[in-house]
Amino acid sequence: MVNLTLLLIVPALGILLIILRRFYEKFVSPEIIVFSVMVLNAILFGLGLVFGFGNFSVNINSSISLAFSLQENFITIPFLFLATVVPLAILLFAVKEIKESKDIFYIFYLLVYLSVISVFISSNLLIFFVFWEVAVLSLFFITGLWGDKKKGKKAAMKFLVFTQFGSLTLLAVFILLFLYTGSFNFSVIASKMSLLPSYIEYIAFFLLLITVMIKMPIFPLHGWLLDSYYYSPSSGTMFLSSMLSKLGGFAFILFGFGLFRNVLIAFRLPLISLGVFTAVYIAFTASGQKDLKKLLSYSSMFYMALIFIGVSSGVNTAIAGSILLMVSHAFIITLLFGVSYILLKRTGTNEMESMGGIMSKMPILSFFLVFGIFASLGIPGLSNFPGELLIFIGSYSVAGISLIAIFGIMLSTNYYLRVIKQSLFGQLKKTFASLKDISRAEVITMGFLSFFILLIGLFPSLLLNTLGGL
Amino acid sequence: MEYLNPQYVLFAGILAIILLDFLRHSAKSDKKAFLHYLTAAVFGLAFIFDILYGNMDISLFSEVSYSQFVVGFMLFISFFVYLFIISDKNDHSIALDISYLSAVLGSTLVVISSNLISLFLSIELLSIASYALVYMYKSGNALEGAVKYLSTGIISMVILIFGISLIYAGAGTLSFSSLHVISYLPFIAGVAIVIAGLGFKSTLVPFHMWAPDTYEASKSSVTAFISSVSKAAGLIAMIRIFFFALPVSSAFVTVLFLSIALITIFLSAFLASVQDRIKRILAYSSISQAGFAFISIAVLTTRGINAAIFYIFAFAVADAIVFLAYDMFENKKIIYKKQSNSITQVSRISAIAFFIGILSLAGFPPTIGFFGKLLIFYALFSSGYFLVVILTFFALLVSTFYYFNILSEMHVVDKIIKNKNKIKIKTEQRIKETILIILTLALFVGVIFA
Repeated sequence: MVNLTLLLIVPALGILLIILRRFYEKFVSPEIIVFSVMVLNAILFGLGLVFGFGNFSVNINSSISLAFSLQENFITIPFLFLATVVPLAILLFAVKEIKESKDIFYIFYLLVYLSVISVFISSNLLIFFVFWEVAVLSLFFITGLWGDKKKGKKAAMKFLVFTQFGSLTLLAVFILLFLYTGSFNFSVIASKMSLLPSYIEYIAFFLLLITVMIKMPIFPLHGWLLDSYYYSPSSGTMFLSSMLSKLGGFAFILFGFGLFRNVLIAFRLPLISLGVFTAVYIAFTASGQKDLKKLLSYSSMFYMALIFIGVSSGVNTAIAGSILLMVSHAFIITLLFGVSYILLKRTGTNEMESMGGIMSKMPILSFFLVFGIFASLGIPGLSNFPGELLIFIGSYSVAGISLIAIFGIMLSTNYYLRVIKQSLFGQLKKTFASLKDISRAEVITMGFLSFFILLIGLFPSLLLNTLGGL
Repeated sequence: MEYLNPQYVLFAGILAIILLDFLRHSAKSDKKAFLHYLTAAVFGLAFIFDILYGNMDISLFSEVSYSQFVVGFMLFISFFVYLFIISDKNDHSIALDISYLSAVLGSTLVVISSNLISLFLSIELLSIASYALVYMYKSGNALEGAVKYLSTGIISMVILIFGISLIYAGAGTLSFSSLHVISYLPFIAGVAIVIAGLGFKSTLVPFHMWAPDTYEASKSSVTAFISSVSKAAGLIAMIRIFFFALPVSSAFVTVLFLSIALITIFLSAFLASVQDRIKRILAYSSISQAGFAFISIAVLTTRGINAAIFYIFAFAVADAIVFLAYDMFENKKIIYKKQSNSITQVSRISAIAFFIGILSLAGFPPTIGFFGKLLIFYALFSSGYFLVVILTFFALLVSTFYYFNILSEMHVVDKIIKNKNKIKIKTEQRIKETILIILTLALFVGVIFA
């Protein structure tokens, strides 16, 4: 048995080590501490998969039902897998990019890491909310302090104000649940859901929907997305796209499907239509982008729209597909943002038109870019395919309208192929004559991500089998 | 054991200090420090007695369920604020000890008053001492602040006593326990006027206009006291009158209360966003905190009152922290939020404490500001005010914006990160930092009282 607290104690110790680093500054750099913390945590997670996870609970204040309790729920394992493995790859880009005040940056890095893990395993909703907010705040500081010099602060403020509204509505949902069930414990609430009057269920569901639509994000509430993705440091963008947006999906499945299933099923059709509209709309928006990082930001939102369709169909198959797609998308988008960051560093631009012919100089990088794009497009054998397939099978069975989203996939094929054509093929620009291919560390990181993309693509059942309750 | 109550201790302390000061003058000694230590000891003793034996319980004063907790946190905060004030190198006069002790005595008496007359006298004791405290440190415009405070204070006291007399005309008694038989018209008028009178003390819009000027004019460590303990006393007086004494739970009163609270929250949030001086922003934020506490009083349920009391505790601690930390900034001449270059000279711990205090005021977990807001929303939801909660969300967004605007414009976080200067730190600063650390810890540990 691996107790779930261990997964939190290890990063917390890491934070403590970095804070106390002034006493042994010369011996260890913060990157090494972070790396070893995450490796240790990944090993613990692996051991937990084999031997099972132990629950943990300490009561803090019983009058508001505040207890530090950790427990698996029916979708924890895939998300925990995502949260323990992906940050290992993000670290490399952080090491390359962050040169100033490293100690504090890595404290925030570990805080995001810690809080995302805790959100996935905490069974007390107040603790869930605390870590949900800590993740938002840490990313606020990462974007504001290490992001773009001119616009980073504004982007961070926009991100904070938007997501703070989502957090408040989530808090309102939790309080409503507490009001009628008298507990903040997830399993207690799940067993007492019949006590909620139906109009409260509807109110709570719509409040939750606002949270999810801001966090994922979905069409009318996506105003913060581009600024914060674009002006963050690349490691911040990777965190935002691979972890924070998944928190939205996680909350949607856990509460929307787990608790308010009746309301979800009643509103299935309008929600799926909204998801489809978002998908097509965002695919068109992404088609018009000339900047690789902007294009990737929008395409990330496209996959979140597919996930939204999957979850709101309320069918077990589609929800399993959404979880699979979330995990695989985290790996793919990290890989793609990584490639875009390396391209930016080597060529000095992210405009696709000013690149061109890079394939001849950087074959390994080009391979990874093509690999990531093909995985994104859902080529069978790569990780997006099983997820998308399950989503469409599941949602088609309840609402045929979902198939319109496939049109969005066609559009994304179009713009992705344009990326390949404009940046990789064609005449090599003279300014790029001295480009060098990616270094060994980068190859290892990219290979690490590609390995998991391939693994999930070939053996999706590895993840699907862990979804016991679905 | 009957006389081992914090109020008696404070009273005896005031008398002892006056007497000892007199003896000191006759002996022509100028050792004032001893009396400062005595004052600190009085606070400590009062705090211990509050925990061990509870509060005074005689004819005009009676204990209520929350009085031990409220008096406890009032003594806790005022003790540390006092230590902070005297750790300055200035030559403090003994008037400081006496008026500070009287102000604290007044606010602890407000908590347990069970009669309108004793309540009025307690508030008066608190107010008179506070005017003296504001004027005691004659900075640039201390006089202006003190006069504004004095004149609005006197007007509010007159209004309060007028309202009390109307209530007396309607009910024929002033004791809280027997205010049930009422003749309606003068009574309702009296209630409305009492709200106005107490609204001045607890800075509710539209009775708030003195607050930013006075807060700005007085020394920040004194502001820390006025905006936390003294304001808490005003809000507790509201709870005492409108929940325990008067049978006022009618729809009219609820609507009146809720609209006052919402106007307070919104107006202060918007006014804070357009200010340039840090201290004025903090003053408006303090007004908005009072609005949040009042919105929870407005629902007039037990749940709402419990939430309000916890929230008062939460914002009092956080307000004390931000004003005390700002006192250390002010010594380095940081007045406008865009003065980013001077921030490099302040100490790191004060920057961290300021940061955490702001987080708590903005209601971010895991600080008690968050749990306070949680309880308030819970109280509002359980009385069915969904729309009010949604409205407060928007106000909270505005406040999130200006709080984080202070942090980013002032480069507080940058300061925490880039601490390169190795200035030799004095003991005085060490003491102040210790006080800030203790209060900041209270922001996290306080959750056990929720």
